[in-house]
This record gives sequence, structure tokens and C-alpha cells, in this order.
Amino acid sequence: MRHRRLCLLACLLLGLLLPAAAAASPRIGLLWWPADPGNPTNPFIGSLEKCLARRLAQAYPDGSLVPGGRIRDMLFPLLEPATQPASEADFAALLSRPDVRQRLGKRLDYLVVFSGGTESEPRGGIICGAGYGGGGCLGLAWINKDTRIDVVTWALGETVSATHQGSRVEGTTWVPAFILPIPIPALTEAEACRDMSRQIVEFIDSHPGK
Amino acid sequence: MAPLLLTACTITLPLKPAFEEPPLFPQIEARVGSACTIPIHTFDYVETGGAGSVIRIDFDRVSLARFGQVFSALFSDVTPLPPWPPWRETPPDLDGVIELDKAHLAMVAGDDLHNPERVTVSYRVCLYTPEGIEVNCWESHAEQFHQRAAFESYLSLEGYLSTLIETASREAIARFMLDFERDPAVKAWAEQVAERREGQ
Repeated sequence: MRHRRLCLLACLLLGLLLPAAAAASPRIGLLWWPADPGNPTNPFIGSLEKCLARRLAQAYPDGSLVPGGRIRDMLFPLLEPATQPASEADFAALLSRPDVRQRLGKRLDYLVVFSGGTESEPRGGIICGAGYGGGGCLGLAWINKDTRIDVVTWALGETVSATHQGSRVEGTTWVPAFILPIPIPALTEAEACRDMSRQIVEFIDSHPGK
Repeated sequence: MAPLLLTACTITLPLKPAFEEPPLFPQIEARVGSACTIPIHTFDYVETGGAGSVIRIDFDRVSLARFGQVFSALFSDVTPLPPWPPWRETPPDLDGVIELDKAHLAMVAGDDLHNPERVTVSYRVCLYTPEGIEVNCWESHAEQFHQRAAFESYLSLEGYLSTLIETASREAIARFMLDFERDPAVKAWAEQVAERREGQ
């Protein structure tokens, strides 16, 4: 009886500890999808991938991160801009293919698929002038910024599950000019990335790996 | 002095020679020879808008390495055929021959204002029976362009040029693979090969 109780306790403890251990060192892939065929050098996406990777590496120091280029290589020719899945249903179908599952399963527990961008709307104006005695600027300009990030995180276990998450941050970059223009930037991209990575971590922690 | 200056301004573009893993493809059970009829040379691109560098691109060699991997993914057994004697003169004891007969890179220089850099990649691949009868040929191409920002050519010309060429090359190869997979002529040929194997 006593042995049985001890065993039960050990099993309960293992059950509690094992998922936590799996989530503590997850293998995460980051992939821009749908990739814009006309803009492979999209600077927003490049910096967003770097930012997400940095934040996820901070959250899981023992985990591993696989960049999008590596994932495209692993699944070539299925994720090129001309051949990538057109819809989320097509993407789910791709992930359920046995050859794709086998390739991804060797390296990844989670696939974070992201897209997004920043819309900017400049307003106001600054006038600058110069003469023999010197020069300077006068005025006020501002740029309204709206950053959106959309993420689908796929847990690549025995059964593939996914969650949709999104982040939207609005802000204004102010540029007052009195003699010299002094920009006060709105860091909407950084804030959206921070919020997005927090949501991804929440999902991963609540869906511990295989 | 002149050759020294030329060397100093010539940059070889870093391109990944091959895919990290074999391409994913529902492999056809067939013994196929692979041949290449393209002359191997480098491509020199003179960058006019910025520093005026000569950028050397090893496009043919990289394309050949990539198609080597692609052909190995398409068929269960691939044997590279020697360039001489030509395989058409003495039909090889194989189920077919696949040939890369065109690898073409074209680049149009851009500037910092309104003219983007343009990169076009095209390939042509043909599958033949061992007797030299064409099963089918596939021509695939892809184009990429990039409008550089002010001074970008001084800071990261090699970076964005290699991204454009890699993306266009990969996309053209991916298009070929999908066309090949869907082609009824390939399906008919694969069925004939399978029937012949069963009969042996």
C-alpha cells in the first residue's frame, strides 16, 4: 500500500515536471508566411524575425531557434514565394503531409508563422533655410505609425494544433524643429514585437512539446 | 597596376552552393542518367550606381550543383553521364536521361531613385528516353527586383544582390519541380518504366 502511494506521488510529480521540462527547451521555427514574392528583401520582416528570435531566446535560453531560411531549405520546393500554400487550410494540409512532418519533426516542436508591416502617414512640415550668418529649421512634423503583426503558432506534436495571435500598436513619431530638427521616435515595431513574443511564449508554455 | 586595381574592385558574390537537405519530391522509381550541356562560366555584373565594383557571380556552377540535388530527389537512381562521348551516340543502359540544357542569368542595374535592380533567372530541363526521344522539356523562369535606398549600394550591395539571385534561382527551380510533378508525359513515361521493370 505504502509502495503504491509512493509510486502514485512519483507519477504525479513526473507528470507535473515533464511537460515543464519539455517547454523549457522548445525547438522553435520562425517563418515569414505568406512571403511577398515581389519583396524578398522586406526590411520590416527581417528585423521582426530578428526581434522575435532574440526575445524567444531570452524566454527559452535552453531552447533552439530555426530561422525561416533554414525552414524553406528543409521544405524546398514547397515554401518558395511561387509555390507556398495560398491559404491557412493549404498550410495545414502541408503540415499534415508525412514527408513534411518527418522533416520538421526532427528539428522543431513549434512553428511560428508570422506576417505584418507598418503603415506610416507623415503630417505637418518643417522649413529649413541657410544664409551667410547661419541656418536653421522651424516647424513641426509628425508621422502616425500603425504596426500590425499576425502570428499563427503551430504545435507540431502527434496532432498538429494552432493558435492565432495578433498585435497592433499605434504611435506617433514627433519631429519638432527649432533651429535643429529633433526626432522623438515612436517605437511601434519594438513594442508590437515584445507583445507578440509574450503571447507566443504563453501559447508554448500552455502547449508543452512532445 | 591596372590588374591590381581591377582585382581590388572585383567581388565574388557569396551564393549558397546547394540546398541543406534534399528537395522534397515523390520520387520516381527509375534509373536515370543526368547530363549537362551548359558551358560553365562566371557572370560579371558591373555595378554602375554606387562604387562601380565588378561583381563576379558563379551562377552556372551553383545552378549545376542545385540541379544535381534536384535530379537525385526526382529519381531513385541517378548516374551522372560523362560529357564525352555524347550519350546520344551510344544509348545508355538506363530508363532515361535528364538534361539541364539552359541556365541563364540576366541582371539590369538600378539606381537609388526610381530604377530597381532586376534579376531574371531561367532554366530549361529536358527528359529523354535512352534512345534520345524527348519525353518533355520544361522552361522555368523567375524575376526579382529591389529598389535600393540611398547609399544602400555602398553598404549592402552584395547582401541584397545575393538575396535576389538566390530567391529567383530557387523560385525557378521550384517551378520546374512542380511542372515536372504534374506533367502527364512524365506520368506516362514512369508507368512505362514501371511496366518494363515488372516484365523483367
